[in-house]
Amino acid sequence: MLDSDVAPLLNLAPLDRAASPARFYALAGRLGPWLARGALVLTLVALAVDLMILPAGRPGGADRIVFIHVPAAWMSLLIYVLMAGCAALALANIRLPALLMVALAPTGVMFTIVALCTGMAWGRPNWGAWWTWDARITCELILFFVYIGFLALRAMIDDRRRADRFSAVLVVVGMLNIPIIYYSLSWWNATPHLGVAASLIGPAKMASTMLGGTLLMTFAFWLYANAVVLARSRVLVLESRGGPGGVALEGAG
Amino acid sequence: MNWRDLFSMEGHGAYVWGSVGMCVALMIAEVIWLRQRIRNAERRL
Repeated sequence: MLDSDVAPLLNLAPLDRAASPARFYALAGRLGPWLARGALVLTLVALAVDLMILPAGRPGGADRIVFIHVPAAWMSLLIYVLMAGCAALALANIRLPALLMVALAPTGVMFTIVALCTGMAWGRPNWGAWWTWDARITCELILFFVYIGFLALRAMIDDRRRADRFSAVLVVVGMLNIPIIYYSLSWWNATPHLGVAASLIGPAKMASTMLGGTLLMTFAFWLYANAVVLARSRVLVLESRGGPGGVALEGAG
Repeated sequence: MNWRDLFSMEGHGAYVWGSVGMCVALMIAEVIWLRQRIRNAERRL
């Protein structure tokens, strides 16, 4: 994808050699088990704290779903942003980001499904409806379709290098959706999400107990995502060497 | 700890525990699927 006039200005071959999939394979193998153990312990602790220990009444009943819904939604956005960063580097013919871009996607899909379904489970008792065409909910659904489109596009293209490039372009273009999701509460006032969302900038609208419980679960999900993505990256390296799947492992130079 | 209150969640137990169960089930399914892929990839090599 690099123009022959531009390539000498952006000599990324040394970066590509330093961040080789082979070197990453070994590192992922060492880190993965520790992240998995940490994720398991922290997820159990977070569930215990959020569902049993935090005082009843506030958050009451169905509000406890927020402890899963909000972290899952945050993870679905964070993973997509990481994919987009990797996609931009993959378009510069660096192999490791292409690998990570593909490894991140299924986990992003999983968290998006959790966010959508738990949102519905929270909406039914609180808003009286399983679904509304609220701006934030609709954009999260679009994010789900973009994730699925990414996986479908890769499945349709046999050539790994072309699959990497076309899917990377899709991810970069799909980044348009992320600020729309984030700013949807400001741009569209008539949304049921107003008043219950936590904001990264400005005063949190959640009670401090809810925010603490939410952050605990978010960190548990983060550890889980790291463990799973590292394991999937190793699988992609193996598949790229010995089968039809995976990514293009040929270097930039 | 009042187990009845914990499971009823003020009458919304089905929504809360259904959400928890779905999330845990999806995470476990992803791990199982990944382990299967690892075994298949190692067998091919």
